[in-house]
Amino acid sequence: MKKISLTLKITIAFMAVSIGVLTFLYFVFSTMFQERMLESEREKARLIAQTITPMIEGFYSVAYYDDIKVLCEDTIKLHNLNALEVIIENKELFSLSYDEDPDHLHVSYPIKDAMKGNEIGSVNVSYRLDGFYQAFEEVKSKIIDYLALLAIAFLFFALVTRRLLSPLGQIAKKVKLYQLGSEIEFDSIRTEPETGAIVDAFKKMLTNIREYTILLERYKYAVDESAIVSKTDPQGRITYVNDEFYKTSGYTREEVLGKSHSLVRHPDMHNETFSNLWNTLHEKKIWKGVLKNKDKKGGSYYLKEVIVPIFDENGNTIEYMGIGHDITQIIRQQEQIARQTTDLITGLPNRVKLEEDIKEFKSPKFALVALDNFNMINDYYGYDIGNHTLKETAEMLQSFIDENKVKIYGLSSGQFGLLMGENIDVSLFHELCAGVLQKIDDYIVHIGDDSFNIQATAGLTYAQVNTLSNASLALHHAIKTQKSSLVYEEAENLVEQYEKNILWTKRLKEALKDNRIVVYVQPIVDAKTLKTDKYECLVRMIGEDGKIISPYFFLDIAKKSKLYHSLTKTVITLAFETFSKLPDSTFSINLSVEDLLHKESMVFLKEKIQEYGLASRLILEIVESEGIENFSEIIPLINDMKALGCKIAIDDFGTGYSNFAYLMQLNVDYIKIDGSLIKHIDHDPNSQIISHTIMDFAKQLELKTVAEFIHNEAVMTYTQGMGIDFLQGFHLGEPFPIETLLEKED
Amino acid sequence: MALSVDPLLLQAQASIFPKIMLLDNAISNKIKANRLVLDIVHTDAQTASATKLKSVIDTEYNNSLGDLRFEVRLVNIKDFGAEEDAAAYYVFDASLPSVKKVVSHAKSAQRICFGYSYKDFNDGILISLFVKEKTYIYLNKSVLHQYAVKFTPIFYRIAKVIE
Repeated sequence: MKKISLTLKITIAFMAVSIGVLTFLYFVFSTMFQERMLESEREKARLIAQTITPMIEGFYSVAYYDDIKVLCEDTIKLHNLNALEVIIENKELFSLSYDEDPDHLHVSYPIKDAMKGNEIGSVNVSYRLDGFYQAFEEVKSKIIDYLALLAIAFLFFALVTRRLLSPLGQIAKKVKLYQLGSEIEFDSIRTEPETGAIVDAFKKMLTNIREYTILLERYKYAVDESAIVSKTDPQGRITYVNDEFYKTSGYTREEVLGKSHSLVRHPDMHNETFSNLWNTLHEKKIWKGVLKNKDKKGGSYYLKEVIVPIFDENGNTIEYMGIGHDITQIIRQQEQIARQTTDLITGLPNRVKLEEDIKEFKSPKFALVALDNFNMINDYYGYDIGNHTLKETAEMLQSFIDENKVKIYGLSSGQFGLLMGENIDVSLFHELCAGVLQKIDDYIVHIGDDSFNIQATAGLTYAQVNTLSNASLALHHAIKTQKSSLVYEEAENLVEQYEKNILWTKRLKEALKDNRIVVYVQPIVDAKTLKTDKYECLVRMIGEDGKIISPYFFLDIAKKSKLYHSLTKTVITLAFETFSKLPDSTFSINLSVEDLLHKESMVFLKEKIQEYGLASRLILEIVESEGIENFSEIIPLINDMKALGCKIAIDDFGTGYSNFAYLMQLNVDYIKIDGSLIKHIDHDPNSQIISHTIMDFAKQLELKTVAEFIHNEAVMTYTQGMGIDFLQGFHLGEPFPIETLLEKED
Repeated sequence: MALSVDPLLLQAQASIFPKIMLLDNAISNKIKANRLVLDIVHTDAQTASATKLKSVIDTEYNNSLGDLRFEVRLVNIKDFGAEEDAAAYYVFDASLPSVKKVVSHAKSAQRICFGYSYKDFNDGILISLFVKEKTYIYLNKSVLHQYAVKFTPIFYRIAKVIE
């Protein structure tokens, strides 16, 4: 429908208002005017009656009845009267009426006695309204004439208004034809101050548009240069791509224009993502997210994308504009980080992730669960089986444990971590860990046709600081004490022990490095002659302060920290070096079962024996002989040594659970009776009985005996009396540096 | 015998009677030489009163009555004759035989005859004036027709008509 012009609207409005007002006024005034005029006429009639009444009263008082008549006749003639009637004392003194028109105005005025003042009659006047109506019609006619004049004035007003408003139309026309980038010429338009202000406003607006257009162009350029920009129609067909799009995707404009944007959609993207995307856009909202796209070569790239619906002036979507930033590198880095925090075998978060997660809790509850003898699984079955075991165990744990409450981690060396937060009760945590251990215990790993059980031990801790190390300490202590689990906070002296172990490990390492591991020798004398027959080589450490440190302090640590074999080698080296220069001396070196089973150490020993040719002067003292469980391994090794010419001694024999039977298996040459049996032998019957038993046994097997811990004369005397072959102890000679032998020799 | 007149009454009559003369419908016919004349007819004994009356009227009207010249004449009753042509007459005592001819003349000439006292109505005077708590103009209805003087109708409302 064509719109009505402003001029016409103004004119119509003015006319409508004016006509309405005038009509209203016309009716109001005509009604009021009629009323007033009528009242005025009535008043005239009344005045006439009022005027003649005193005269009539006067004439009547003096009986001038003719004068009354004359007065009435004159009155009725001169004034606009239709009828006049004078009635006094019920006598009609005068009456004249022209017609009986009911529209005449009727007025009655009382006649009073001139003397007495009482009403004696009335003057009745019938007043003609002809003049009134005529006058009223004249007034109405005048009003209509005025209205007609007003209508002409309206028309004139409309023409003037139209002329005055025409510049607005011209301005509108020019602005309507405006094209972005063009100019509008307003100078030809006639302006008054008001329209001039409008023209100035448009000129300013055009200037602003120009400036903003330039700015927008620059913004567009900046966006085009820094982001990947694409536009599609509402159906998703590409209508525009910038150069960055081509650089990233490899697709040229010609290859993509008109095509669906799904051209670059990567198969890894879920349908749900795109459903959400299109739903959002159809709701005329902005969609933000990360998209994985496919480039022309089939590779992938990631975009952090913002897609904006563009509307026309009616709010209808005309296109979609996507602005994306290539975050492929960031994604790759994130994946790498994820890989770094993921255990590759089990797929569980790894130690790096664990350490991050621990920091999130003020009071975490952590259990370090280690599969018992996992190294053996790797060694026996191979690493593939070992990895498979770990994977199966991880899957079993994930199925058993609610991962919303407990986080599971895959750690190295067959270990798993279980982490819970502060909102879990300690007792529940214990229960869980016990459950996990039981579950592992019940679990059977199937490898093809084979299967085997696994067990685990757990170290628990509740500390946020040093969580992992505390749990590890607890775990190792649990393993050592053959418990299924141990809580760090409940274990006494763990820290002290731990710190002590750390300290001694460090000292030992430094001592090895600084060549402060030395050999001391203690003489073993012939029991009969009390002359030194051989020397036992004993390991010592020279402390940082130069003091000699007994192996009591560092030997266990050496075994735990895998420095033991280094000690063994050091002792072997030093002993061989020294005794190679003492051709007449026999010496013994202590070897533990561990040494015997350590291939490298035994190879080293053999090499040294062969290098120095000292086999016939070498006695190998096997210590911790009660710890031998696998004779089948030990016996060949001993036989190898014996085959080289070495002698074998069993050290610390006779304590605990000594087994004479194994003694026969080992084919030893010497029995060294444990010091605990010799120490009180001079007065302890039990010691005497046991020692004698050992003596007899040894004699029967033609083995030599050595009594250790000869600490005083009485003990020496007694042991001599027993028939023991050799004696060793502080009473006979304390250990001294091996170098001293060379000095003596010199 | 000297007339005892009330100076206040005289003052009131002097003030009002000339105005009543103007209410005569036929007053225009009673103008002579462009003058309205009021004759005060008196006896010798009434000379002072008549003089007094004239003096008051002259003082008040200053020889003019409306647009007309106005003259007040003192006429001794002895000198009064039928040829008298005043517009109106004034007598102090209409009961005096000598004054009756004035009343008769006034009637026949259709001239107003004012009297000092309304008690002289029986003696045929037409108009008198009395001052009590108010001023009363008396009109003698019984002789009105005899005089054949027609006044402006409003006069009949103003004056008290005495039967």
